[in-house]
Amino acid sequence: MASVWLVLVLWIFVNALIKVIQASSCAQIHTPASVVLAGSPVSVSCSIEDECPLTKGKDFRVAWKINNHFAPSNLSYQESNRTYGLIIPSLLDTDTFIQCAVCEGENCQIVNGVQVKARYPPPVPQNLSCSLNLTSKRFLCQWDPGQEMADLATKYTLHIFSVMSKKVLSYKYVIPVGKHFHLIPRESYPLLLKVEINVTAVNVLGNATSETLKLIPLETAMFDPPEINGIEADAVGCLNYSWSLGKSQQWLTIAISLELRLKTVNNRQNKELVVPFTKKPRSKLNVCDLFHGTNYSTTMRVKYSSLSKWSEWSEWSDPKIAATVMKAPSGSLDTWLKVDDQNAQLYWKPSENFRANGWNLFYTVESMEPKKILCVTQESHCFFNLIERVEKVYLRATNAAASSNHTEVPVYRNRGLGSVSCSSNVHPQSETSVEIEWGGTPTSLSVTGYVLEWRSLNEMPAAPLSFTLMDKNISSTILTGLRPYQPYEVSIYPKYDKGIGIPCTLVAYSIQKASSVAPVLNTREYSNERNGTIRGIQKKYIDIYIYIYIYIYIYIYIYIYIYIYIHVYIYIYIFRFITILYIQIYFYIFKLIAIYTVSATFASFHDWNEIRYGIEMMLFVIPACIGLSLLVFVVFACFGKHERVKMCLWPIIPDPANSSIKRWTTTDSMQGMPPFKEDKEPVLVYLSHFSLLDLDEKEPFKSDYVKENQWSHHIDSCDESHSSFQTCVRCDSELDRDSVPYATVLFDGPYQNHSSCPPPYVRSESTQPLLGADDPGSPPPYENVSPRGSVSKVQRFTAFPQNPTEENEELWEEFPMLRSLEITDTDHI
Amino acid sequence: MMGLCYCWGLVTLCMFFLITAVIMNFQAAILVTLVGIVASAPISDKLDILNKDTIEQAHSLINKILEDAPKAHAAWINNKGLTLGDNTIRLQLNYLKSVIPSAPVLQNISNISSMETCLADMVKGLQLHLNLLNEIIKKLAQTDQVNVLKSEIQELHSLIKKLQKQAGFDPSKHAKDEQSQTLVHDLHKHLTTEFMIQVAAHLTLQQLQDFSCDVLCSFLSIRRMTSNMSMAENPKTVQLCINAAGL
Repeated sequence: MASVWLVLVLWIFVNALIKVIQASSCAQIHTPASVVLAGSPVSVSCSIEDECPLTKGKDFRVAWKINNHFAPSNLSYQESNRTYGLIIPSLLDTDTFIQCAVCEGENCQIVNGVQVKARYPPPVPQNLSCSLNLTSKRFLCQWDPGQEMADLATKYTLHIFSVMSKKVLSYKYVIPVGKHFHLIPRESYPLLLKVEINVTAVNVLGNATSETLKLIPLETAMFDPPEINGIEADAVGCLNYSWSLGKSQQWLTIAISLELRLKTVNNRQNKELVVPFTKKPRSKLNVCDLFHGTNYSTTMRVKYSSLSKWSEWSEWSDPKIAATVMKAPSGSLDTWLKVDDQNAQLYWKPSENFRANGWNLFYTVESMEPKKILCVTQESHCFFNLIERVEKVYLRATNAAASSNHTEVPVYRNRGLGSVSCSSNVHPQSETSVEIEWGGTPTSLSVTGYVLEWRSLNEMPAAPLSFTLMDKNISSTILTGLRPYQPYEVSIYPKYDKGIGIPCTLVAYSIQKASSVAPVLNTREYSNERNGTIRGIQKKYIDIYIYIYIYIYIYIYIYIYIYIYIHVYIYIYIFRFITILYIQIYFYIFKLIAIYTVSATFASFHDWNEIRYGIEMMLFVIPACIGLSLLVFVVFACFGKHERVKMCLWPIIPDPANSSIKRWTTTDSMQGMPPFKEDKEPVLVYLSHFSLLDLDEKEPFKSDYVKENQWSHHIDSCDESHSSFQTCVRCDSELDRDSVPYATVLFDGPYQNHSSCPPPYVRSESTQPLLGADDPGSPPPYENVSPRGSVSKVQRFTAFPQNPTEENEELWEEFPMLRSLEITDTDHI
Repeated sequence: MMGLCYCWGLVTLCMFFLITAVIMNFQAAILVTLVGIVASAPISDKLDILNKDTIEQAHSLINKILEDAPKAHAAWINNKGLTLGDNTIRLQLNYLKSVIPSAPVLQNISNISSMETCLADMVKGLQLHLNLLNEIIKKLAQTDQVNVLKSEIQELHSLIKKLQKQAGFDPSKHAKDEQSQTLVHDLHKHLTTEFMIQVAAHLTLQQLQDFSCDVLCSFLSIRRMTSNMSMAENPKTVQLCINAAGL
């Protein structure tokens, strides 16, 4: 059957396939090229097969669709009998779908189609550049391909031409698709001769050649940093350098471009100058017009030619330091002389045109009349005694080479001339500068200038005095170079042609500034092997840790709550006091744990280890507390003598459905029935002791006969019972402890038979596992009491005194009430 | 070096004298010699016809060849017994030296004519070594260093040709490429064993080094004779040549 189905399916499939083939072969479409140059004409021909079912015996026409639109009829034509053509004069769309359709009336069926792509020739490669690496001798050329068409492979060809010995050497390298660079091997290029390089991009539609690069390969190389071999200070203000190219360019003897960069070292005029040269290697370089007696640090760099646009500067060489020749200091010094009787304080500083021209600069203050050297110092001030006669002192600077010209300092003894109006204003300008303004001077005296002096009040020992000489028409100036928000004592002295006026003194502060030094944060580092510091831990992880904590807390809380709830429920009546204590301890422990962990978590949330230890501690402490409390309770329960505890802990849940009579025994529980004992005779008492077990009874304990106190009483009074039952009672009292007699039976048979057994009062023992827990093995075979007279036949009860059956009959006879209870059919027991 | 070149000049003069003395009478010999002296007198300004840039370039390249020849030797020849520039080896290989055609001896440059000859010989010598290297490469696996050396020789060759052209010399006058080509072909017969190939490679590089030293010497003298051309010798290559010459 299955094979028949298979054959059928195959047949349908083959049939369908044949139909598809037939449909597709209804017409053949042909175009000379599927990729054409954009804008060029495209011709497509469609030849309808003779076998085409669409045309067989039908009057049809052929229509063309270009991108799902019918082509205008003027574009199509009929080539031959069943061949039709279409000419698109200019194809511009990148992707054009041309379909050939057979139409019968208005109904057109597309029979075949073709896709024609309009593409462009490759773009001209741009930015062709080459560079030579002199160390690796790699001549790398690279270019930008421009916008390439993804579905049209573009191939690149690199050409390199060089004229060698009249011959034009030409090398051509075809570059793998996708690469836009090429390493030209050494044998294809010269070093010093000109080469021409270009790149041609080719695709199926055409090619494009980049601009031709004309260069000398060496000029594209970045040279190694050159080396300054020596510096000589041969002429005044000049330095003479000898140098060489880097190791791999030492063969070069052609002139190259180079630059020297000179920087003064440890000089106030921190100037930098760059001197260009074009020199042959190993020639001397001379740099002049430098400061005298100044250290210059010089570095140099080279390139092939400064005219070539391909050349690149090398790295700067290692700096070399050399000093120019010293000369006597030149220029003048600004001075400020304060005379107080015989004591003179002279301050000076270099003016703008002052040049030290050397080092080891010191200053000499002297007077000419009498000729005396007042002081020699390297500082910029000097205090000395001045005798009355001296009207001028002279200051000169001396370096290791020579002394400068004298600077003349007139001594003005007239003091206390007109003061500058002290309505001076201080305007803090910035953190380090303050603007000082002062008023005019008495018009009677002609001011020649002002001296502004200031010193910091906060420095110990007292800061040296600074001063500025100012022109007479200046009435404000800006003091710079101050410390932020430090008190400065500023004095403005007017200078007259005859002396010095009374100064105006004030205290100035600049603007406060934020502390520039951040306070040092002392952090604790953990450097154990776990390297577990998570000080810089991301916030998301901290969140995760907190979530874990909350989760644990909730979990523990619920757990404890349920646990306590159950315990409370059980204990509430038994160990109220203990339970309450227990709960209190529990909550106390929980509180301690919670406090500890919360504090451990949030106070020192630094280390994963701490968190781990916290969790570990919690996981240990909580079960430990629970376990400990359980243990305490169990110990208490086991060793406690109170039977009620046991009863409460392991309540006996009787299940009559699963019970059956296991063993018969006599009992002296008749003592629990005092009325019988007292009022009736013994035989009669025996007969009246029975209990009825309703087999449907669910709660046998509710039978008023079985009472707890009765059973216990019966056990205690075992010895007082009838002597004939002693052994049995002893045995029974032991058994009673293990298996609880929950039902007293029986009253199942006719009283006549039952009376034959002198102790008609028997009871059963349940086989229910719950109740016979101490007897795990299957109980020994037992016999159910047969409904009629079977009790007497049981071998086990031979210990019972065998009474004549008549006596039993009599008994029944005498108790008509019992007789009425006779059950005739007890099959179900 | 100057002394050496000058000696060469004197020897040439003596030869002139002797030849003319043999052919003609003594007076005529004196006359011819005097003409020679006049002709070979320092002619520094006359050499200014050479392009200084090209001279610099050629000088740079010959320096480079002298630098790279030992590298090519080290990379190419694994026979430890063949050391470049070792005079003992040089003497011991005197017999086998006949295997490779000898390089042209460069004439001392004293005048335009001698310079023309000298340049032509340089071209010839460089071409010879290029051919030799190409021939040996057929037998001995080529290395990058040898290719570098080859392209440098090629470049110097074209630079000197350029120099000839700039000076207006006729390169075809001295071109005897065919001759050197046939000489090189003879070498082919000897390259039968690995040992001989190694020896031929060593001898070629050794001869190339010696020849390059001669070329360097010539360029130095050209520089010296050309006005406004400072001495910019590469002490390394000059030292190498002095060592090579065993001076």
